[in-house]
Amino acid sequence: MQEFLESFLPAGPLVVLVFSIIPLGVILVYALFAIWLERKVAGHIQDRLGPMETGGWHGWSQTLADLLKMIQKEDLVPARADRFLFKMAPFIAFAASYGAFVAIPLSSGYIGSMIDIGVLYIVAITSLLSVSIIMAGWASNNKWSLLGAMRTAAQTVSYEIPTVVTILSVIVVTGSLNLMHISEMQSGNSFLGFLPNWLIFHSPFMVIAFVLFFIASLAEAHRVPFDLPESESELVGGYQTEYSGMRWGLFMLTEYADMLLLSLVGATLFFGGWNSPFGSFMDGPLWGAFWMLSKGMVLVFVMMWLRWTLPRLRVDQLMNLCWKYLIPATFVNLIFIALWEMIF
Amino acid sequence: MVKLLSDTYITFKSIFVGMGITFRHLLKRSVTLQYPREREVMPERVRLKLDVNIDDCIGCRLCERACPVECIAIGTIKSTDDDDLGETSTGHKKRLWVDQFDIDMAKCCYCELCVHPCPTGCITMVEEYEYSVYDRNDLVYSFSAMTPEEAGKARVKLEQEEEMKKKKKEAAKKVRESKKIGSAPKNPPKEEKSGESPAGSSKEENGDESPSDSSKDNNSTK
Repeated sequence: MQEFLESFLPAGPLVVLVFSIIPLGVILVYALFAIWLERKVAGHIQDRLGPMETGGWHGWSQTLADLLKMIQKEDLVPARADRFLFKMAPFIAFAASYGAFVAIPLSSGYIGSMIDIGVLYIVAITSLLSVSIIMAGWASNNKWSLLGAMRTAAQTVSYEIPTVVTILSVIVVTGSLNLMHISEMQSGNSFLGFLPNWLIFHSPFMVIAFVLFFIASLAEAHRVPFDLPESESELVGGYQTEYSGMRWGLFMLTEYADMLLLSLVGATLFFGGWNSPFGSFMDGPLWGAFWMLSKGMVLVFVMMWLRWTLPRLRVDQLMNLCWKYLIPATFVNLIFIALWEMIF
Repeated sequence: MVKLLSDTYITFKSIFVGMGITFRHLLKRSVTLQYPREREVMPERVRLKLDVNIDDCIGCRLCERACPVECIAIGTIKSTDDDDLGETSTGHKKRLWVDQFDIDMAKCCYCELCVHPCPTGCITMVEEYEYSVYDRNDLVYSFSAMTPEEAGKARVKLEQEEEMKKKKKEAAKKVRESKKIGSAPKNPPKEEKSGESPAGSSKEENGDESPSDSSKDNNSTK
């Protein structure tokens, strides 16, 4: 990909800029689409229609209109807030989730950086997100914001353990931390003759690992039923309470980018990444990007679907679920996967 | 351990059942009505805004009297004998000018009691429910087709006619009295009449009025 860009652009910083801006374009277009989709899914699950007017066909440009509205809004900072931290927090939040896209292979021809510690890097840099949320909550000087931020801290610390352990159980199978290598490992159509050679079909324990990973990633992305940091019905929006205009928009964008990030990580670790489900049919770098993003979107859709199905957990139930069920289950599962690897 | 596993099983089962329900609703036709473009079909006997076909109104005030909240205000002027107001579409003869027919929809309680007494069926409830306004006074609907000038004209005309009738009556009375006495001095009232008529007849129609007047007068007194 980088060589391809260098063939028609003057070498140097411009190539790097274009190269690193590609995921940003993907995230922005995806966020516009996903917010619209979220509204549509929410509407139709409740037997409504959702946005129908803006832009003609089924309100497709509703998010664009919202974006324009947000840009025009006043950028308010509370008088007693810590101005510097308050203004910095949304940028750090977005930088954290954008930075994680570096290690995601969007197709067989594109990965931001071929670092060998890819997954570890993603896990590490997404922790920055919770730091920024705590920053936002603390700087707002508001009870609700602080409560939301404290819940986030507790939630992130707890749920990073099952996430990391489920990822570890995949690493046990693949033997590599580089997501590009993990994707390449899953190409082909050999397993049982008809199923794609994806890691989720590798062993029954991988299915359990995926379920555990998905639950933990819901909590990581602060989605319902684990959306306690925001929980608009009890915390008035949590750490976002004092934010307005584009700064709030950045938090929203971060949230959706985070959803996509975790879905893409899940798709890469369990569903073959950019590999086509039909073996070599519809394969190639561009089809790879298509498969990768559609797998991610399916998982994002399931997240939205769950949002309108499950009620929010109480904060003690959240901790209960994590420490008493998820963490023991992930460790047991890790042991079983390791045993499976030793035996077969 | 068994309890843990069964709890886990129940949890996942209930989550999947819930997801099944929400997915069914996702595919179901939504109940939303795209309101300004799609509208609900109103029931046949729906009670909504009042409408008056003023051409059919005979000014009988039955609706005004039936109204429990007094939201209808009707003003009528008797028509003069020379004016033929025509008939309603139901064949009733119209005898009154209706110079005021105001319905205050802000007061209306939608009981439909005014609709049924109407002998000509000119007051009805129509299928219109979007008539909100910013000022409450805009909810007073005037249905009368007469302008204030026309109403004033009709009123002046009526007064003249009544005065004339009075005089005639008085003249007739005098004639009768004089007949009783025996002598018949017919001249003084006639003189009075001829002296009065040019003063009151600034209008162009008055010239035609006087000859036809006497013939119609007989009909009306009957």
